[in-house]
Amino acid sequence: MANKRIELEQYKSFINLIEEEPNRKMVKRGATIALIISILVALLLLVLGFISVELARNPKNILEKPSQSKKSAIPSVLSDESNDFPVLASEIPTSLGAEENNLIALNQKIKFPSMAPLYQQPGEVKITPQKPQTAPEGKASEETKTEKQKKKKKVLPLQTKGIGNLSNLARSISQRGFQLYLILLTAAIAIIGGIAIGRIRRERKSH
Amino acid sequence: MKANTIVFDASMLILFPFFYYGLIRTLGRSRARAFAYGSFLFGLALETTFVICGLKNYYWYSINNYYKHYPLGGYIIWLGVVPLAALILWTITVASSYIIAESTAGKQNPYVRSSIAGCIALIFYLLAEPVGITNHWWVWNAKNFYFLDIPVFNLLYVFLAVFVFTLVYRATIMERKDTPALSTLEQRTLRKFFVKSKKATRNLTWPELRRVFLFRLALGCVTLGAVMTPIITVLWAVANRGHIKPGW
Repeated sequence: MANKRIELEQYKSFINLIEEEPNRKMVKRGATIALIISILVALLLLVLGFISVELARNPKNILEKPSQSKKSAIPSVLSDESNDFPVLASEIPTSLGAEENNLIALNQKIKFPSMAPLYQQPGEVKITPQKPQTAPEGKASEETKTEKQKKKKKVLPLQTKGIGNLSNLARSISQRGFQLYLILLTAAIAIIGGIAIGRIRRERKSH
Repeated sequence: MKANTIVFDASMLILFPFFYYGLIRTLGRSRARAFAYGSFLFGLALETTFVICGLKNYYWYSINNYYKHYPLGGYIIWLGVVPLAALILWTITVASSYIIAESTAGKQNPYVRSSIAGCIALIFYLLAEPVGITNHWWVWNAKNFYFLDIPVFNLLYVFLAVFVFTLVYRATIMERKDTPALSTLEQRTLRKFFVKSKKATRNLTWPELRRVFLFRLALGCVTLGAVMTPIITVLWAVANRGHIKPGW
């Protein structure tokens, strides 16, 4: 009895051959299902490709950054350093103490986000922050400039050209290059899948 | 108009159970399971390597404003740094390539069959890549030589990866062969520590065979990495596009 139990335990770890060697009818059906699904996946990609043709035509699409999150109506003082916000003259009170004047001076240096023009009203005087004066350029600065230019030349563009660029294909053959490319590949997959299904069926008939 | 990641993700999750059902009927339950987790792990290892090395990323939708609409970067399920949908696409591609190669060139030698499977997978990816790239399902960052905005090394990688996987699966699970080239290495490592048996591969039990399969797949991964590294380096040297930083 104990030996029988051990045998059964060992048998568990072997593959059930009846289950693992499915009959030909089952294989045929299984392969057909699997290949039809893979053709469906190809068709799905074709449809999704057709949906996004306009994006494919845009050469900058691939390098496009995700859209930035919208800034709140009250601009955050410390969030963005790229844009200078003009201080409106109407906002400056006429009689101010020394401390308050200093605060305004500080305020002029603070940088605000790009929605600044929304705050400007017609006819108002802008007090724009002055740019720091640059020192006269000498030979050293010219040399550094040429070095920088050389470096810039060496840096590869992020946008591909010619055959490397998908938008060139999308804009070729009267703007239908991408569609034709997708149709061609989907048809190739469908034909190959169809041939495979046909072979499996014929194999079964011959046996 | 944009086909967002959620469309790709949902369609993959819906189609995969039907595909897997077909695979079970074709290969048998245990073999289909081995195929599925083998290709998942193989793909996961290679894709993770790509993401970690900064060659590719799946995070376009998870940046800034999009994060509000697509909390998980647009994908429902992630396996580490790789979304499940990408691995499902990979598995469907590998399995259908394998079935087509087996049915059309079943009597050819294993290398020819694996090459055919690799070519079919390449056709699949030539279709999927432009759609994926256009809709930002994934972004290629690598400084490399590009064809239709697909890095050429990726096309080579798809062919070689499917070639290696098909070869390993066929030799280990379907034919249960001992490979003389690997026998010494297997005896010293796998057979010594993980499969404590000196039997021939055809006489191993199913759990032992699965371990041999995973070991050979790991070796396949390493070999693929060793082959791909110089190719990527050469294509890096003749690049026609610069490096895009993963997070911009």
